[in-house]
Amino acid sequence: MHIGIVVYEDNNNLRESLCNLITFSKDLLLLGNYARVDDVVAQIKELQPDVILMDIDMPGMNGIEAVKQIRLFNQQVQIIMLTVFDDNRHVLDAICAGASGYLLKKYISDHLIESIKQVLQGEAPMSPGIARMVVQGMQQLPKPVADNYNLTNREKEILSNLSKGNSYKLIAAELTISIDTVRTHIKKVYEKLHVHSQTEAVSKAVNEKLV
Amino acid sequence: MKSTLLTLVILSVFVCKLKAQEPDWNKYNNISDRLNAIQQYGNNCIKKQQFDAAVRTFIAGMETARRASLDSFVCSNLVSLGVAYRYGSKFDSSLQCLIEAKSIANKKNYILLKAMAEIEFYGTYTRMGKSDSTAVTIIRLKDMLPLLDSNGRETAKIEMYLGHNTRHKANYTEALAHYYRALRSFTYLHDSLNEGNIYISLAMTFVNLNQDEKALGYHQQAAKLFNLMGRKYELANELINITDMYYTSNRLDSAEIAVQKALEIGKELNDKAVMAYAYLHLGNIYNYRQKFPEAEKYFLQSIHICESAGIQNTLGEAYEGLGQMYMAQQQPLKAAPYLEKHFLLAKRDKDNGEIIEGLLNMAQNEYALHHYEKAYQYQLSYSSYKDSAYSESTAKNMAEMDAKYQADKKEKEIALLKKDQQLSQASLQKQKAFQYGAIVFLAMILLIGFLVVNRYRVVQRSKRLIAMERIRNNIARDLHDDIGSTLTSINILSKVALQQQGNSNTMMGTSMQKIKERSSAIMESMGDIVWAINPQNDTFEQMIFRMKEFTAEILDPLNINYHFKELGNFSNIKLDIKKRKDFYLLYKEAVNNAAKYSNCKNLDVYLEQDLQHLHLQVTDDGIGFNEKVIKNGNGLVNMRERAEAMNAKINIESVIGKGTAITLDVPIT
Repeated sequence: MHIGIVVYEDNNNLRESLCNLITFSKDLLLLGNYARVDDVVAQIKELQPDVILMDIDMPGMNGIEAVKQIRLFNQQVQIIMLTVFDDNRHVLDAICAGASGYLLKKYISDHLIESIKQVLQGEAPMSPGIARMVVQGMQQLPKPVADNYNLTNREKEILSNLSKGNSYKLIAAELTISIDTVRTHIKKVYEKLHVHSQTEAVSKAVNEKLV
Repeated sequence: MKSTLLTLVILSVFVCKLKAQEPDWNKYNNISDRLNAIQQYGNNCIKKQQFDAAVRTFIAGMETARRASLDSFVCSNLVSLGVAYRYGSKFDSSLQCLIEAKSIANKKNYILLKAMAEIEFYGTYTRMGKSDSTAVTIIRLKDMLPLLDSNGRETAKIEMYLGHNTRHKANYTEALAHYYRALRSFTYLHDSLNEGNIYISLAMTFVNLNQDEKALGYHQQAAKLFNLMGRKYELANELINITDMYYTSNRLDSAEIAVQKALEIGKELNDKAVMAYAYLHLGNIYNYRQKFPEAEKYFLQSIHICESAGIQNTLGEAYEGLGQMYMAQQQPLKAAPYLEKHFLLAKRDKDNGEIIEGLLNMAQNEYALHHYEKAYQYQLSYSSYKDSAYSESTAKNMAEMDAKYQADKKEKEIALLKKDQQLSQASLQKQKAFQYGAIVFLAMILLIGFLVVNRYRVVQRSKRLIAMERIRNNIARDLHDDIGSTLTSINILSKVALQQQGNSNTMMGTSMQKIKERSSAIMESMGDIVWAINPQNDTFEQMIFRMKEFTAEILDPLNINYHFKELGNFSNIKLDIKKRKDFYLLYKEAVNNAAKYSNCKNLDVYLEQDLQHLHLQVTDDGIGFNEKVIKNGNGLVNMRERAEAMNAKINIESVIGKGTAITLDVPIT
């Protein structure tokens, strides 16, 4: 059973390399690769991939917009954002818009396949930088809006820990839970952020502060 | 023996008492009481014409004031002293005192005291007959008027002097104006004596103006005032004046009433001069009425008083009056001796007017006696006297006019000079004020300009800095994005190639591996640079997050346990870009070394912040190393260089078999 992949990346060199890597990975099947996302809806509807690799910064419509459009008709497809930085608010925007995870470009060669498998298994990576932004966003929201996200205390605790730069392993050790439990909690956070993707309140709160 | 001693004691006490004529001023404990007492006593001395005592008193007052450092009292005592000296006819001393008083008043800006000094200057100069100095003084007094209280005694006195001064210059209307102002002030001050004096001055001015009725009115007012005040002497003089006025206007009855009153007072006061003058006037009045026996009686009485009391000026008139009366009665023989006496007196006094009159009288009388020779002689003398008197009087008039003209000119010149001075002073002041204003204005403009420019510069600089930082950041990110993507593609391609090769032990495999690792390393360090120059990451807290992330990234896959310990508040520490980079890269080197070479199981990171320093300690429990035998010491050299760049102290301690501890001490400024 091959995993169907579609790639959106505007840098031709990188896209070519990526395609090479996917082509030569035995579990992966490259369904399509594009430099622009302008026709993303039609393309996804036609190709029906399992996973989409999406660059965030692209000319024309950007990756975040594309995610929103995809999510309008498809909730199942896993979308992994490709980015150079993980302290970028675009990453948070993308997550709020419905991305399943993200992968730093520098890790593509070593971690791409692993990441694809992880998102398919329901895991979601979150770096301290992103966690920090989520926490910040939550703090800046008015209380009723923040409560709307329904984050449990444990989830908040993990987010807060994560935002201080602690690794999953350290968090697990500190809270005496398994790393998998930590991952599950993070996944839950993602889902809760997705549910409220229409309002994107957290992202907005962060943006307002950053701008 | 005892009695002689007693008399001696009594005598000595008496002598002491005689000597100590002035009271003991030390009995007044209050200094102002003492000074007031001295002033009063001194003034009384002057009234009693004890001028030496007055001088002594005011000297005592001046010294008392000087000891108490009361400059105003020193000054007022000096003025009084000047007055006392003047009455004592010691004019130089008087001027000396007044000059000193004026200088103090000028220095301390005591306007009233200055005016008082000037007034007394006028008095002293007048007594000395220095007309130039009085002219100058009167101008100064005039200038002082606006500075003084318009109802003050000094103002009144100055106005009075100004009146006298202008009257002497025949400027009668102006004199009247001054007198009226002085009169108002004296009335306000209830100074009746001076009020009376002003009435007299007014009367004299009206005589000059040929308005005898008004003059008479003022004399009468003066008389009334003196009568009320009980000033008999002044009253008598005024009555004489009034008599004169009535007599010249042929109101003989009124004249007689006035002169009788004067006579009465003269008798009461035993004032011979008044009595003599009163009898003379009575004689004149009765002579005019052709009541010769009474006239003769009065003339003789006047002559008798004058001769016995040595009153010369009235005597001449009495002789003449009596002589003329006898002439009118056709008794030239009786007239002759009196006329001669009158003539001799006039000759003695060198009173030309009287001499001429006397000569004419005698010429007529001798003619009546049929002594034609004598009459002719007298007539000749009379003519020559009259001519010379005429020429003398014209010369005198001319001289007088010339003097008047010169004085006027001088005064005008002085006034002009003064005005010029004032004008130039005013313009100078104006100029000065303008200059100051201009300077202040310029300074303010400069200051404001400087502030505005400075603020503009600061704003511009910070704007530029922000813009530059943003641009730098953007360039770095764009570069990173672009190069990062390309590097990533190289990285991926090398991975793909490696996968295809299958065996990484071949030459090609090693090369591919190296390409992959190097491209990763470049991406990593580029990321670090971009991170370091991002202004959002300038607090040390951000640094710690990144350090933790990095540590987790490196150590987690190697199953090395690590522990972070932080002490202190790091959110306020801000490091500049260079320090940020150096510190982070040094830390990375330390962790990388431990991960790569030490085979450690545990790594401890300790961070502490005190006031001026940041401490970092990275400790591992690995195999340790000997720095001398280490093959590739680049990492250690790098760390040392970075520490030096930060001005930090670094200590690398390693024990073989036990582990390594790297300690860093960074100053925060």
